[in-house]
Amino acid sequence: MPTMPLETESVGASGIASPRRKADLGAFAADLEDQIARSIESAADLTAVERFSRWHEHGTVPAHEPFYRDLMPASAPAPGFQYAFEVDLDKCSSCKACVAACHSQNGLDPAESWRTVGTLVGKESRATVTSSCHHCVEPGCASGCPTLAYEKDDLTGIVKHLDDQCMGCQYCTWTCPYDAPKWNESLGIVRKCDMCHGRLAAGEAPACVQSCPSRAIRIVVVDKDALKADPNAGTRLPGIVPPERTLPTTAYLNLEDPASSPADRDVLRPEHAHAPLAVLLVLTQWAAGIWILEILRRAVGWQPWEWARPCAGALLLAGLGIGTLHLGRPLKAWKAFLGWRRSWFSREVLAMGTAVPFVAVASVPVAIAPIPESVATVANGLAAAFLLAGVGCSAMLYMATPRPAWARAATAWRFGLTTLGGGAVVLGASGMQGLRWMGVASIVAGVAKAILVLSDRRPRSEPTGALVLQARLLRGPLASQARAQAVLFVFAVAAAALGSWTGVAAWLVVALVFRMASDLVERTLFFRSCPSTRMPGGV
Amino acid sequence: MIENFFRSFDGPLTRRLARAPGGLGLGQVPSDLVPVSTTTTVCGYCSTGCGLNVHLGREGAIDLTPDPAYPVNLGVACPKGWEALSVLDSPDRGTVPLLRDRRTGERREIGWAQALGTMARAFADLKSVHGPESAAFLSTGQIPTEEMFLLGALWKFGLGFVHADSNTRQCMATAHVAYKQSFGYDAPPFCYEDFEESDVLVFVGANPCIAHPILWERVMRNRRSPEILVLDPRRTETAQSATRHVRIAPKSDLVLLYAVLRNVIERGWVDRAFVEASTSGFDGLRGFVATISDESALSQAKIPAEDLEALVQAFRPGRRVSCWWTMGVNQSHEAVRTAQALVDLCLVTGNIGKPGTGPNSITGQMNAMGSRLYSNTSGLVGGRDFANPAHRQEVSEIMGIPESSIPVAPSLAYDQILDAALEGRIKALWVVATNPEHTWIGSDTFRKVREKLDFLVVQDMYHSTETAEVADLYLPAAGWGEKEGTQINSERRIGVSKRVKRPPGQALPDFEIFRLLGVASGCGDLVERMSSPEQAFHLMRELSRGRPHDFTGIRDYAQIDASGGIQWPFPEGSITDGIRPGAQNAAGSRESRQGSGRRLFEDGRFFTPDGKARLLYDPPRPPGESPDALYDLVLTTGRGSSSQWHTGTRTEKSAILQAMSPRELFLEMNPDDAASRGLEPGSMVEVASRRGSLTARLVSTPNMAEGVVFLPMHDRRVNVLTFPSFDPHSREPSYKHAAVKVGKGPTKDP
Repeated sequence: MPTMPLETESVGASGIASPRRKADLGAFAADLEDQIARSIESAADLTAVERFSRWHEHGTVPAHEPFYRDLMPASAPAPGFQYAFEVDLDKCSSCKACVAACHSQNGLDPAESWRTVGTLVGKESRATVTSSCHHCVEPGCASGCPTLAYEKDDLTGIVKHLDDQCMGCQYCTWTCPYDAPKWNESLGIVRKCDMCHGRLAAGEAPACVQSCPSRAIRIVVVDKDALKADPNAGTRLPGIVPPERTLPTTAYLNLEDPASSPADRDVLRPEHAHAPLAVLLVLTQWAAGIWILEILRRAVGWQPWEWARPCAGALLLAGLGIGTLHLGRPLKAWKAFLGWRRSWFSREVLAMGTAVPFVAVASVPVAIAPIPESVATVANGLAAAFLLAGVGCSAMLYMATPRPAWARAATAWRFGLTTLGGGAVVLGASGMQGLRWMGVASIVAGVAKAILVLSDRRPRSEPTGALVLQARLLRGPLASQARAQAVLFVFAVAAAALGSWTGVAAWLVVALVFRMASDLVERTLFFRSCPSTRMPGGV
Repeated sequence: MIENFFRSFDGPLTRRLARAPGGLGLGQVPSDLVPVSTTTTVCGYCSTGCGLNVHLGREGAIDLTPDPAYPVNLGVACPKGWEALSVLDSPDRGTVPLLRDRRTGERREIGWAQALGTMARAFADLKSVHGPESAAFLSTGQIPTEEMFLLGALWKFGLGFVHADSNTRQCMATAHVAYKQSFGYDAPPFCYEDFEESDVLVFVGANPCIAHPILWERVMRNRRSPEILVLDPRRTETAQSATRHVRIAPKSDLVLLYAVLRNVIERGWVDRAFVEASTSGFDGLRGFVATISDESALSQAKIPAEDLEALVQAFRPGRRVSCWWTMGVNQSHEAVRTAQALVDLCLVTGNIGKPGTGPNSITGQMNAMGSRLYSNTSGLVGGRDFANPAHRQEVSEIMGIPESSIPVAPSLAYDQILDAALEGRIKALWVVATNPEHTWIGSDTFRKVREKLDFLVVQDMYHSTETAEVADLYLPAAGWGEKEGTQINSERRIGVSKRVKRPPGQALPDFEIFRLLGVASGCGDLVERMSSPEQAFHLMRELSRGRPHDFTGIRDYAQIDASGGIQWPFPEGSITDGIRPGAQNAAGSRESRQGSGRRLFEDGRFFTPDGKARLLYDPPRPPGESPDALYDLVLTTGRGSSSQWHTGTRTEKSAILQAMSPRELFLEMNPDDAASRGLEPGSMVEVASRRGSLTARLVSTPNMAEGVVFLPMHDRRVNVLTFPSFDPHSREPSYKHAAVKVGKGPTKDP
């Protein structure tokens, strides 16, 4: 290679290079170019590693086996028994290798691990708590799942998730009290710990057990009946959902201070807004309200509003349609009825899905399709029944979770009052007979719900708990949304009052718009302000 | 059930999580990550120096597991080790050199030839105009010894500059100086078996549960039911696991240790024979500590008398006592004397050179010791002194360089280099694999330095470090796993780190960058003798001959690898510690590897001219800044979690490590302190020192004593608060003592 001038930049006093100029580095230049090329080439050469011997060329028995041999049960569970994790809190040194190993040894996505580590803080002590799925005897995930995507293995007791069955509704992440199922947004499904069942079957330890430097996690065999008789023999820690609900099997040994509490107990974390679900709930409840009130209107002899049923039908379909946007795998939504024996989610889907054809039949104007009146009447009644059942199932869906902010009668009242208030304001805005009464009904229902909503916000006497957190969330990070909802609500009530007073339907149209906006914000707050239940977390 | 007909028990999503036998002694692995072979390497984060078993696919590393046959970690690793490969894949990796354009201020991509030519010219111009003291490099404890060696040799013997230092100044300089003064050489005396062999372990300013989890594993393996004493202002994870936590007031360690010494001497628990034969300065020490009363120690340390008594009792004869320290000692205004108080305690009680004993410094970075021995910064290569003519002559002969090219004067220390830059005497800095913009102590000092510099070169894996972002020239470096070399861990074990992955784009191993700069600067002759890391290693080996760290018995990298690392000293003719066990009974042999560790000073002979260890001491001094009426709290800093490493340059690139780390900067404070200031737990608070302020989330915890608050060091803002004071011997900054005040944050708590 001939010697060539090399482009360089001179560096001025300003610290920034000046425009390039040619500088002759003399004989080095050619050599440099040549050496750079060789350096880049050699840096990409991976054969260097072959200079070294490789170990375990023919190894079949895992080299780690002696390390975990005594952290495993001697034999597989007998009938009536199952595998369980056992964690010695005294041995754990807080290093979190279990989290990293679970992530890496199971080939999980970049930020995904089925094991999490949190802290219990006591007066003078603290305990690091590692947790993943507790493989409950009566798993909350499985009882919530609408598609039967959970399978509790008869032989091992391991609660497996069927990834290809999951439609991504995330309901299990609410019904599991311990935050074991992990939502994987990019895949649109939930995944969770399977106790490395394949490894167990091959006599190997789960990744977390293998990786713990302190040997704080082991696999044991537990008696399911004994756990039913004494749930506290399983997972009992301060600040988590008590074990009676699902009979979790992980035993935590040697907690120094039973009066300690999770380090993140008071940390305010607004939850996900679940906008499609908020829309689904509000629209389906309004649809049911319109349907029922229209029946009542006709029953008292007021002039029928021909558009009430099509209007309700449109809201129902829109609600259900938008609701499917919540699903990570909407194409699998057809499986949602499978869990009807146990899951309020399935029942909600079944009720609302069944309502659709009846709503359709009852909504078709006579002018378009001459449906016999008897058929239309039956369809009308059945549609009303299924719509109401749908609203009921919606309420139960939330009340059946372990979340204290949802699992109370207030949820049913909230949904029922939305049904009444929404239906009334729509029928009032129709301008048909009974407009004033509808306006009044919407105001009454609205004020009753506002009392519920406001009561969630008031400071509470108890020092801690989910309801305290909910109130702090609504007064803190969610305060501006809560204020917006209140303002929208006040406008809606004012307009409805004007409408009822003056008898001018246009006011009720205004009320309808504000009321819809107010209800949608209220429902997103219903999601955002409800603290989830989980294992102790960290800061 | 009819429902089963509609259930999918298998499918593409299920198969994503399938596991398959990995073979090669691995057990099951994710089925898309079944390796074709494996190779071993040593982790590149901390100085524990864990062995990792890298799973190789056709195109290099695909995964890793801890090496069950490595005598250090015995088959386990901390989260950082598990995630060592994933941080290599990041959009922040540098792939081409970047030069800042003078007009636009933007960085633009340039070729290596232009980058190296520019750099060579800049340094040559500076030297010819402003002399050999006008530029300096700041390097690291995070690259292999061979790279440090080449950099130091090129900088001083080739380019002819004088000043250079490394970020080990911020972590291990104290231990280095303490050992050198006391033992005559920078020689940590222990091996990891000592964790398992002690009857009493005294941890001072160390939190191995979080900072060195795998070393804590070794403590847990101790079968002697050891007494574990922890001296720390915080009730750390380690303090909680101890048999006794002595919660001392910050920086009261020195006076307390002197009080312990006095009690030990007064009670006659001195190993007379050993002190007589192997130490010097005992009478002076006895006279000095006689002036330290229990009362003054107790009142300064703010501990009950029973804590002092327990510490004294720890040293009663007949038990093996080991003392372990890290940054709580090293980063102090009187750090060297504090470390030496522990040295003195071990020396006078004869707790050295025997199993389960020793004043033992747990090193921070993975290759701090390589830096101390070969970086040619504060000492001449191979643990030598620049001022010593005989040393200069040895180096000149072994390296084949003129003696005149070896500077006579030692380098300025880190803080002095930055001071010189602020004064305009040093006009260019070359920063290699470290991030001073984040780490340097006290109120944005480095930012001011940057403004004064004519030329700042940053060489790093990532173009996005705080320091790289403000560089004039950025050079993209290969990272750990993309290059090879050796490193030396806390127990003096030399380990090999291998290239198992290709660096991204045109990123080059630091070794190659140094070599190429040598070529561009006309130092081809010098770098030619080091055409590969292993060749440089052979030269390093020659430089170790006859030195205390003599490893002339090491043949090559393959031998180190096959032996599971080799501890120095290992002079020519030594027998390998033990050949790594083969496939059949790897883990079984792991047990047989126990006891293979070697410790120093078993013969009571030290590296001083007279063979005696020095007992050194000084009267304790108050810290540079103490709380007052306005700034009424002491701020101490440290590691925040086991998943975070220093400035987060690497660990923040792993999503799972991030998920394990605190979500935001938090301040730990005693609940009474919080209550008296009207601060609600979990709220945002403002922390202010005389140098600046920041906001953090308040964690109210009884783990903190009243009057003391803690911030983790991984957030750049923290060093806006710290107070720049330095140990006079080691010039290590004191990150553990600044006066601050804490008040309500700017935004109202939710």
